[in-house]
Amino acid sequence: MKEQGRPVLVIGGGPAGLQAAKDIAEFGEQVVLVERRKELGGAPIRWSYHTLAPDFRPTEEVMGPLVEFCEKNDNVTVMKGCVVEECNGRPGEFRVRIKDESAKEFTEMVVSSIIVATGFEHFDARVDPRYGYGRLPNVIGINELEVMLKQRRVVGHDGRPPKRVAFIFCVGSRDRSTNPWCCTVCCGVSIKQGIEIKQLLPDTQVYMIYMDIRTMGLWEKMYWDSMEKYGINFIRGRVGEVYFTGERLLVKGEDTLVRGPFEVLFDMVVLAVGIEPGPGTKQAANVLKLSLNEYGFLAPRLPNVHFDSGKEGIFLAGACVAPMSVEEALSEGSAAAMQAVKFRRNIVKKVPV
Amino acid sequence: MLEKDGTVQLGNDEKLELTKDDAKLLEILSSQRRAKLAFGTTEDYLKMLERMKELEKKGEIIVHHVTEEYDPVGVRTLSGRVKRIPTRETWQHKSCGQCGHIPGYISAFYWIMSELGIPYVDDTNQTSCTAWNYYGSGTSNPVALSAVFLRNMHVAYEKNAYPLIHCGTSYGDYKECRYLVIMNRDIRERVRAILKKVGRELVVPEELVHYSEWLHVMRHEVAARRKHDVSNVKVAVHAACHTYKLMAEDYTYDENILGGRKPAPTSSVALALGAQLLDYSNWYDCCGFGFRHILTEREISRSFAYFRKIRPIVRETHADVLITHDTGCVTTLDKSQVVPLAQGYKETIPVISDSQFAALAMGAHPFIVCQLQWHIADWKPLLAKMGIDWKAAYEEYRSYLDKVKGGMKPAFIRSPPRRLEPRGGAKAFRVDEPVMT
Amino acid sequence: MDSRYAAKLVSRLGEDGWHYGGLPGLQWEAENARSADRSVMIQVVEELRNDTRFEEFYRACINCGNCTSMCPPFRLVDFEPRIVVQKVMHAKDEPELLYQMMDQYIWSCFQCYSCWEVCPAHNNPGGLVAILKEIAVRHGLPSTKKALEPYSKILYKIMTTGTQITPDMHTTVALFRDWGPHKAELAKDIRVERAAVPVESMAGVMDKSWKVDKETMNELMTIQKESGVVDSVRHTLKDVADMVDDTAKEAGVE
Repeated sequence: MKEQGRPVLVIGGGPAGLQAAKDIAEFGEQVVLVERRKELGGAPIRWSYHTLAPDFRPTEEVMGPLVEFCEKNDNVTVMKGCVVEECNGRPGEFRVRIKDESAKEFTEMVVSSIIVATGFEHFDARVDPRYGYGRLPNVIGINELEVMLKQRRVVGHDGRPPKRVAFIFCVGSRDRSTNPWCCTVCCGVSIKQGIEIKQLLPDTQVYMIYMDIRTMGLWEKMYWDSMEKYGINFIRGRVGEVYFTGERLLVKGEDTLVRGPFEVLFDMVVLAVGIEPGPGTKQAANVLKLSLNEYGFLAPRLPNVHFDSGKEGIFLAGACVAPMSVEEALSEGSAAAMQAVKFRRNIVKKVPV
Repeated sequence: MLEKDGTVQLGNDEKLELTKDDAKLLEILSSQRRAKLAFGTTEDYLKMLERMKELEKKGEIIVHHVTEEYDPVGVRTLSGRVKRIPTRETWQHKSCGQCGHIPGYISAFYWIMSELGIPYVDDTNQTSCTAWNYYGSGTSNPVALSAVFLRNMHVAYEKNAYPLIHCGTSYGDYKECRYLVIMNRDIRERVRAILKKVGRELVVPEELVHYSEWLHVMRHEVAARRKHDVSNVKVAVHAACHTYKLMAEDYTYDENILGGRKPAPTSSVALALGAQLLDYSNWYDCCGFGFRHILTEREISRSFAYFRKIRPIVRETHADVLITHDTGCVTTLDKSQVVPLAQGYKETIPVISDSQFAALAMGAHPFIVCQLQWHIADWKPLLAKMGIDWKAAYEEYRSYLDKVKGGMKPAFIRSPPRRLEPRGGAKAFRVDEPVMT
Repeated sequence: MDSRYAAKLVSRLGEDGWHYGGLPGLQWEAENARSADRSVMIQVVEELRNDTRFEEFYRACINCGNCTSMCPPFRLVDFEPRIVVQKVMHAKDEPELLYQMMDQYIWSCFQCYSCWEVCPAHNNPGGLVAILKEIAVRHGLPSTKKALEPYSKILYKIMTTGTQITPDMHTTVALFRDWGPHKAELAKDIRVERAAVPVESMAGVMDKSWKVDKETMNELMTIQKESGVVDSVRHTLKDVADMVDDTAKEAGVE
């Protein structure tokens, strides 16, 4: 490839990666977008997110145009089902080897800069035996609930709609036994889902069992609306155990504010399974020799400046750096795109302080 | 600080010009911020006043306006609007508690109005608000309370005198009822039906005025007639919960009194008379009246009143007198001192109303007019400090009592003659009505 | 999963699948509520939610605790306006939770509305308590009877004359003994003291606060009858309601 035509490599086709690719393409530059899975869109598409907080916007409205742009635009080359296996060379002239997993083929190319946007995985709650995920019927994660909400059909394993649902916040987060960090978005997403369940099943009792409510910024409205408009109940306390009686789920916790220690039967328990670094992130870090922090997320040079990986020509964006919402990931993608283009056009040689 | 010409003085000597809407919003927000009030409640209150105008236009209700005949004076409230306080020809909405066992409260107030040459109407055709059955026992309901409220307002309207509400409880109850009647059609129609049965129409007062607001507005006239020097008297003030916490946007706040952070009435009277006004840490605490508690669970009321109000006030301010503007507060703060003092606690302070304090300063008789003998906490040091020879006054009072025992009629405080004519109607004037006006 | 063991576990739970109680004071309140008539519980919740003032007084509650921080009875007893709103919030799905408060909890409130003033969501816990008190009276709950019985005399006086704590209540020392021996002194000469008050509407009046016109009292009694106050009182203090009816009949009120 000619020096002029060297594309930017974007690893990861989720919100951050797609936005980055779009911005770079609109600048008139070439982009190669490599996505591990067979479809673009990242977590929102993979898990069929029904709507996005805070205003319940259908996911397609946000993700649809992005995916369409990247698939149709001439400046963007999409490689689905592919993984970056090797990276050599130097900034401005990275020589990468991309493997097509199913066809077992390799592509080699030279790229000017790289944006890592490898996203996250939902915590696998089987790791935490407390809640019986994977063992007990009717214990599901918020990711699985989104699929049900999209199909407008929320039912238990027996096919019947639940009469009483509990959301357990902070599963796989804020816990030294699993992941110590806070996933920032689960509070808002759970409350959003609680509202959507109430819209589908107005007579179902919905309980949110939480430690803190972290509906940041303008997401706060959902919290107040959930109580005022939808009659959702909130119990402050963490759940110690979920037990199956043979018919229903017995949830044990402490209501630190009103009832004291409690045991109560639910028909369905939804776990707010958090954000954790996925295999794609680990793999990219290995290949590009990027450092990971103690939590396994990609470590930028300074924690306050996410796009700066500390390595010249390599930029970071999205949930592979820290848990965040879709709107934040989109902004980070744009930011990384800007850095990549600046680098590509030799405007700034060294990564800014 | 918002100037009159709609500009704002910025810190660095710059002036910023605001649009009319922005200036209005800034006015509301800054007055509320100082008193910690929330914006949303003001919106509801202003909406209610708008609705009142609409209903009047549609002919669904009559509004008793504060017209120029009542010589109104404007005061600021937390809602940002100016409230019109009538100063003459007011209809006395009496407090059952004051008239029942703090007669000095009311006689001092009448005495002040009489001294200032201000005509007023003292009507026997008045029921109490019955809000004891709301806040105390839960035995009433919104329709009943609103019907009693509007029944009294109708009488005042017929007499062509503007209602002045003497009790904080009544004032708070009437604020709630007015809001319900205006905003809720169902309640309004049910009240209308009941009032029809007693021959009355729906008359809603444009302003709900507490007597302490009247005293606040008239404080300079009161101070001009001051006879005793009170500059060495230390005053602590307690404001009643139902005047300023219940629908906080209706009560009087003044930027020049306590920086607009606390309600202006009562404190302003003490300041106008030249007394030393002192602040204390539990200013915003309730007195502990509790309605039902003061009668049937008294340990709670007096424990709270003494340990959370009286003792801290005495320890922090060493004030000579605690002045308040509500029946329940005078009762609780005064009577709750008895048992603790009997048990050996030392702190005590006399508790009287702003009307009694003002009347005393103006030279009213401490016992014949201000009826201090009904107050338990020791007021003798206060009177001494004010330069009032209480021993001589008490002797006078005892001989006055003897004369009354012997059959003499007391020298009744009289209102100066009215200028306004009562409105027509069969119930307006009754021949057997005792001469009050 | 052993089905007998499961059954044993579940038998500990209440009818609606709840078991709790650990906060002080809550244990016996919960016990009392648990043994009450469930249909009454549900009715109480419905009456609360259908009251015209409910919309004004009840909003989202984020458990900030501002209300409790300013609440006077909280200084002395285990009463929290925050708990009131929380229980009102959950009442729709757990009527028993609300019913626990109807026994003694709500009667602790001073109705000072300090809670209303400081709530960031504009809740009115005191107002909700006032509505609950009215509901308790209407249903004639035994605890309400106990709370209001000492109040009977005052209640009768207010309902028939529209005034209360009248001078004639001071003639016997007993009623206000804790207001001081000074008060007892005053009580001795009270008729003369009252006759000497220099306000014409009050002078010499012993059985009312001021000289209320007969027609005014009749109007009051009519209003109370028509608006259902007498019927409400009848459920809790039947004697008072009967006395009010008799007085009204004697006065010629229809």
